[in-house]
Formats: sequence, C-alpha cells, structure tokens
Amino acid sequence: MAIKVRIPTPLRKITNGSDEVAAEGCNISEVIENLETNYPGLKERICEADGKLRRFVNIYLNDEDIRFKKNLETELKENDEISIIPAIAGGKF
Amino acid sequence: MFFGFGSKSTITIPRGVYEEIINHARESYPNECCGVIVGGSIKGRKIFDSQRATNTNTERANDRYIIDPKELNLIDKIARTQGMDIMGFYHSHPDHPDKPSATDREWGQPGYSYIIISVKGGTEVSVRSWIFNDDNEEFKEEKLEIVEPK
Repeated sequence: MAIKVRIPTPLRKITNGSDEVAAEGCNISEVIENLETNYPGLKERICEADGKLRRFVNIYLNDEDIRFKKNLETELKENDEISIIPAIAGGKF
Repeated sequence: MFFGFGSKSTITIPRGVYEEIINHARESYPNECCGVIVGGSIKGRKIFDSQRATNTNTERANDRYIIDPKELNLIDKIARTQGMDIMGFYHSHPDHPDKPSATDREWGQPGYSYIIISVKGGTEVSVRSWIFNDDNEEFKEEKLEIVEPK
C-alpha cells in the first residue's frame, strides 16, 4: 500500500531534497522501515535506538498525532498521508 | 547553502510581516510569543507571511515556548496549497537579548531560520535571525533584510 510521507526541511538532505516521498507499509513502523531502505539514515532521525519515536519528532497521520492513536503500530489505509513534524521549542534561558 | 568566510546569508521579510511579529512579541510580553514564517527560496530565501502559533508551554510561558505541533502541521498544509514552504520560526525573549539560548540550540532544527525578538519593558525591541545547517554547528546570524512596500 503506497502512502505519501511529508518530509520536513531538516530531513530533506536524506531524501535528496524531496519534500514528499512515497513509502509502502500497513502501519507506521513498516513505513519507517521502508523509508530507511530507500533513504538510509532516515530511521535514526525519527526513532531512538530502542525503536521509540524521538522526543524531537512528531508524526501526524492525516491530522492526528499518532501518539494519541496506536503510536508506531497505527494501521494505515489507502490514500493516508503521514507528516513528519519536528518539535519546535526553545526559550530565553 | 554556501556560507563564505565571514559572510552572512540573507533572508528577506516584508515590512508588514516584520511589524506583525514585533506586535505579537509586544502583545505577549512578559511571556514569550512564537510563530511560523512561510515563504520560498527563489533567488535567495524569502519570507512571504507569518502565522501566530500557540505556546503550549503554559507552565513556563515567560521563558520557554513549544509550538503546538497540530497547528504546525496545519500551517504546513496551508502553505503547501499556496506554493510556499515553512522557512522557519520566530519567538520572543522578554527582557533578554535577541541571541539564541542554550535551550534554543538544544531544540533547534537545521535548515530553518529562527527569528528572535528581544522585548525590553514591553516596548523596546531588537530583532535578529539565526540559522544553522548541520546538526554539529552552532547558530550563525543571518542578515534579516526588510523589504519595503512598493
């Protein structure tokens, strides 16, 4: 099943500049593995060594945060869109 | 992007957008404001518009910000339909310099412009923009060039 994945600016060096790529998978984990096959190095920017989502990264399935669904095991259906959204934070101190 | 020795990269911002982010910073004082800048890279990096974002760090709103990722996802989708991209972000430093803090660098993401608005006493402002392009780099100042209306 082909899924569209929106790539944010910080990860486009890995996708050869593409801001959107296609990936295969029935859940988010499978899509990430498929992305890693096609764009080596992408997985470690998204997941910790133990496979969990990094704290600097949010993944949205259509308009919902996967942390409020089944996280990386969230199932996908045809025409779903995944967006990788970097956590944007900071402050004066 | 190539940075020559000692030379600054440049990002342009329309006067109206520049005034809007300053107004947001003043209105939010003594708390930090945050928002998203959208635009494109056509003969250089250009900001076309800005969107105010919600600071979800309500416990430390006076010295921290977190942009609501749901809003960021929506802003990205709207920008795409208009042929634009997220160029970076802005936030304010109430009664603090317009330089990135250690927290700004810890959470910073490569390739985005980070505009920082210093607001002293709620009125006096100074604004600078910062960027880094690789994870192992520190922030470098980039020239923020204001484009006056024709």
